[in-house]
Amino acid sequence: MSKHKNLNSMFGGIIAMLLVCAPSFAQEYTKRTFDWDAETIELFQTLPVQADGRVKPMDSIAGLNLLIFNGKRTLKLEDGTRLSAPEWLLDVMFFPEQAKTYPCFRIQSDEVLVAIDIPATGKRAWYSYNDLLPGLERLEAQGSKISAIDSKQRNATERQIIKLARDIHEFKDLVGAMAIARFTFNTESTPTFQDLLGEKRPGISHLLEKAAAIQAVVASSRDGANPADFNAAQALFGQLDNALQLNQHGLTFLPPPATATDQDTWWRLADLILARFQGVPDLELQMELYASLEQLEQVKTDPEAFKSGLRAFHDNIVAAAEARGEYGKIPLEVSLYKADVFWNSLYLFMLGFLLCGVTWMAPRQRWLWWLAWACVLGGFTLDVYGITMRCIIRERPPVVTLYDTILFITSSIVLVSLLMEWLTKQRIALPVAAILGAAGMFFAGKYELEEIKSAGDTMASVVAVLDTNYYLAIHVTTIALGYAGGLLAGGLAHVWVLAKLFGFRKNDKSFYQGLTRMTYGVVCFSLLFAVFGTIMGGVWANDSWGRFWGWDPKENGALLICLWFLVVLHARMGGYIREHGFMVMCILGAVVVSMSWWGVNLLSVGLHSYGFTSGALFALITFWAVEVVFILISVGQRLVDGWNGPSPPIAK
Amino acid sequence: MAKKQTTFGGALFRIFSSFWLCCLLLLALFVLTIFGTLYQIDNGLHEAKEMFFHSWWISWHGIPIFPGGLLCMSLLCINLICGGFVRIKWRLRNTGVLLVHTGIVLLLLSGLTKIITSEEGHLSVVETDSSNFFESYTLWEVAIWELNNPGATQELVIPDYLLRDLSDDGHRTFSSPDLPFDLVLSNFLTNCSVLPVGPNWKPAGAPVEGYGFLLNKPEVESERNDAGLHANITTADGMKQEALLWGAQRQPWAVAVDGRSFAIDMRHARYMMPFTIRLDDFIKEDHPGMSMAKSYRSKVTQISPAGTERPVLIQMNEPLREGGVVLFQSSFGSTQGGREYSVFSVVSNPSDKWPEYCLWVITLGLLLAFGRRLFAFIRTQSQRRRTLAAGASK
Repeated sequence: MSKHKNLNSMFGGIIAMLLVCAPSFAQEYTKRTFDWDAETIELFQTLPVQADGRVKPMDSIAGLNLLIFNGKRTLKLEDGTRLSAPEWLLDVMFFPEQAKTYPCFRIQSDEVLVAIDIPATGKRAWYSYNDLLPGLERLEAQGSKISAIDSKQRNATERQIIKLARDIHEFKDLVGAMAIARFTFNTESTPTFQDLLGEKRPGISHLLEKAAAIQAVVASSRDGANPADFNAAQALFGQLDNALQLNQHGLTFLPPPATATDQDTWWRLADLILARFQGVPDLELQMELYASLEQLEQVKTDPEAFKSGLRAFHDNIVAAAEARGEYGKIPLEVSLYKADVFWNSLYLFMLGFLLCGVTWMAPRQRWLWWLAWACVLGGFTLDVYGITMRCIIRERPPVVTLYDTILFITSSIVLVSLLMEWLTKQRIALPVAAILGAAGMFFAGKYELEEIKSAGDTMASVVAVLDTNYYLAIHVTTIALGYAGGLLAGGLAHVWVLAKLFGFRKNDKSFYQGLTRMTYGVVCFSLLFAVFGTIMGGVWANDSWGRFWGWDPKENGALLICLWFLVVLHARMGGYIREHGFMVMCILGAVVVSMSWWGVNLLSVGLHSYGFTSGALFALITFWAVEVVFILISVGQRLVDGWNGPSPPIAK
Repeated sequence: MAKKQTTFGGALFRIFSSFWLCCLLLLALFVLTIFGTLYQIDNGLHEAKEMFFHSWWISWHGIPIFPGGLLCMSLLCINLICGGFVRIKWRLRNTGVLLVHTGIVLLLLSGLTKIITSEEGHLSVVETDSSNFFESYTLWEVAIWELNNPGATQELVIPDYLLRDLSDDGHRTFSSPDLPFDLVLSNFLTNCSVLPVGPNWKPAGAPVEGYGFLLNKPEVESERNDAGLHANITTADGMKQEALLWGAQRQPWAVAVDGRSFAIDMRHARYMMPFTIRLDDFIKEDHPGMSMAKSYRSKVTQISPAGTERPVLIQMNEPLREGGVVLFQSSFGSTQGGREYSVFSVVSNPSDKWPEYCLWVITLGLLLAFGRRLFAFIRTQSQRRRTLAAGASK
C-alpha cells in the first residue's frame, strides 16, 4: 500500500482520478482445447514462489489452495475429468474464465447458499465461481458483518460463510497473479505515448522498457508547458494504477534484485512496476521474466509454444533462486507431495491390521504374519520418510505444529509397538501398532485441512518464541513421546478389556500377564518422557517468559499426564489397584493425554497461543464418549462377573 | 505374637509416609489442575492462580471445601520426605527412586522459594533511554515525595499489602516525621475509572470535586486493572485536603502544606535493579513477505553503579542474567513520536536455575529406576522364548 502512495506522490495524486482511456484486460473467453502435458505440469509445479515466509514450489501453492477450497488436492469436473492441483492452477492463471466454471468451492451447508441468495439445489456440494457470482456482493456484506462477531461466538453457518468469503478472495488473488501480465494500455487517444511506445496497445513490459523516456515526458510537462502531454501522462498512469490494483495480493514469484532494500522478500509483478518507476537499478532479469510471462499469455493456446516459453521462464527463475540458495528443497517438496506418503502409510497400516486379523483365524500360516509385519514396517518407514523430508524442507526438528505432533506421535507409537512385538513375540503389539498407526494417519489426513485453513500451510513459519531448534528438538519431541506412551498404554488396555469381555484365551494366564507387563512398561516409558518434557518446557519458559511454571493451560495439560501416571504407578505399588483397575486407569490415561494434547488448545487461553486450534472439538468429545462407554462396559462386566475373586495382582 | 505398641508419633509417621496419602494428594492436585485450568477461561490466569494454586484452601461462602495448591504441595513434600526417604529401603536398586524423590522435593522447594521471595514485573525502555527499576504487573503502591527540594530525594512508599484490605469502609492512617501531614487512605477499588459525577451512574465512595470512581469489573488479565483509592490529608493545624488516587493517572496529586510541596502518586510497585539498562537499539525481523515477527532483540548497555558499561544482546530465549535479576525480551512497540521501545520481563528469583538442576536429577533417577525394570523385562522375555523353544524341540 505504501508503495502505491509513492507512485501517487510522483504524479500529485492524479492516479486516483477516473480513467480517461479505458484499459484493456483481454478478457475474452479463451478455452483450453488440449490437455496439459506432463513436462508442462512438471515445469510449472517446480516453479519457486515465496509464500508464508518461505520459498516453496508452485505445486504446494496449488495443492494447498485446492485443498482449502475443495477439500481434496484434486478436482473432479462435471464431465468426470479429474484435474491435478497444478493443472487446476495453470487453468486459473492462464484460462481464468474457464477456471471460473470449475466446481472447486465446497459448500457443506445449504444455509450458506441461502444467506448469499444463491438457490440451493440440496444435492450439490461443489460450486464454481460463476455459480456463486450473483451472490458475491451479498457474501462480501455477510462476511464483513460476521467478522465483527467474536470468533468464539460464531455458529457453524457463520464460520462457513467467513471461510467461503476468504476462499473467494484467495481465488481472485490467484486469478490476479497473471491478470497483470494480460494487461495492455490503450494509447490511441494519447499520441505522445503512442509515438513513444510505438504501439496502440502495448503491454506492461513494453512500458517498463520505456520507463525513463516516459518519466522524461512527465517531467517536461509538469510545469504546464505541454498540457496535452500532462493529460496523456494522467491517463497512462491512471491505467497503470488500475493494473497495479489487479496484483495487490497475487503470487510473489520474482526474486528481488541485489539492489533491493529488502533482500529477503520476493516481489509480485506489481512490485517490479513500482521499482522500475522509482528508479531501482539492475532490474534486467525481473523485466525479462515479466516479458516471458506476457509472452506465455500470448501463446497459451499453442501447447508446444507455451511449453517452450514456460521452460525458458522456469530456467531463468530457477537459476535466480539457486543463486540465492533458495531452490534446493523445491524438488524435494514436490516429490514429498507427489509420493503422498502419509495416506499410503495409512493404507499399509490398514492392510497390516487386516492381515493380523487373518492370522488369528489361520495362526499356522506364518507367511501371513510376516507379510503383516512387512506392511506395518512399510507404513512406519513411509511415515518416518515423510517426517524426515519435512524436517529437511523446514530445517526444523520433527515437531513444530499440531499436525506434526500427529505424525510424530503415530510413528512413535508404531515404533514402540514393533519393538515390543519383537521382544515379546506374543502377536499382541503388532495389531495394536497397525490399528493405532492407521487411526493416527487417518486423523492426520483429516486435521491437515484444519491446520492449512488456519495457518495456510502445515509447514508454516513459526512465531519468534519458537525460533529455537534446541528447545523444539528436546522439549517438544520428548513431550510428544510422553503423549505417545500414554496413548499406547491406553491402546493396550483396550486390548486387555476386549479380550476379557469376549473371553479371548480365557484360561491363558500368561497372555494377560504379558499384556499387563507390556502396558506397565509403556506407562513407565510415558511417565519418563512426560516428566522430562514437562520440566524441560518449564526450563524453556524460564528462558523465554521469565518463569519456570505459570499454570498456563498447556503446562497444566502436561502436568496432568505426569500426575495421572504417578497416581497409577503409586496406586499399583500400594496395592490399591490390580490388573483390572490398572487397565481402566490406563484407558483414563489416554483420555488425560487427549485432554493435554488437544483439549487445552481448544480453550484458546494462555501464552501458548501458537498452539490454539479449533475444529477438533467434535472428534475429541467423540473420543471421550467412546472411552467412557468402554470403561463403563469394562466395569459393568466386572460387576456382572460378581467379583469372582480379586483381579490378579500385576506380575513383576 | 504380641501386637507392637504404636505411638502417636509412629502413627503420624505412617500416615505421612503412606502410599494412600501420596495417591490422594496427587489426585487432589490433578483435580485442582483441571479446575484451575478451566477457571482461567472466564477469570484469567492471575485469579486462577490465587484461588487454586497459591492458596491453602478453596472456600465456598467462607467454608473450606477443598485443599488448595499450597496445602497439597506442602503435604506432598512431607509425604515424599517421610515415604520416599525415611521409610524407603536404602538399597542400591532404589537409587533411581531416591534420586527422583530428591529432584521432586527440590522442585517443590524451588516453587515455594519463588512464591515467597521473588519479585517480577516489566521494564519498558525507549531507544537511547535508561532505567534502573522495573514495575510490578499487578501490585500497587502509593509513593510520596517532596517537590522542589533537591536534598529530599527519598520517597516514602506504602506497599500493596497495606492498600488492598482497604476495600469497603476500611481506612488506614499513615504518618511520618518527614511529612507535615497525616495521610488517610480508604476505599481501595481493584479496577475503576474516574468520571465526572452525573445523574446516570453512582460513584463508588464519596466524590471529590465533582469526580468519582466508576467501579469496573476486574479484567481477566489482571495487569489491565486500574486500581483507585480515596486519599485525605490532615495537617497539624487541622486543614484537610482530599483527592482520588488512580493507577492510570499520568500526574501525581500535588499538595502544598506549610510552604512545602509534595507529590502523592498511586502507581505499580517499583523494584530497583542492581544496575541500569540503556536501550541502544531494538531490532525486529519479520518472516519474508509477512508481518509476523521472526525474531526481536534488544541491544542494550548494562551500566554498573560504578559506571562500567557492558554491551549485551537480549533476545527471545536468551535473557540477561545478572546480579540476581533476569531480563527477558518480552514485547516491543513505538511511541506516538515514532520512537521504538522494548519491553522486558524482569524477575528477581533466587531459585531461578533450580528447576534445571532438578530436571537432570529426576531424569537420571527415572532412567535408573525404569531402565533396571526394562532390562529385567528383556531378560525375562528372552528366557521365556528359550523355554518355549526348548519345549518345542522336545
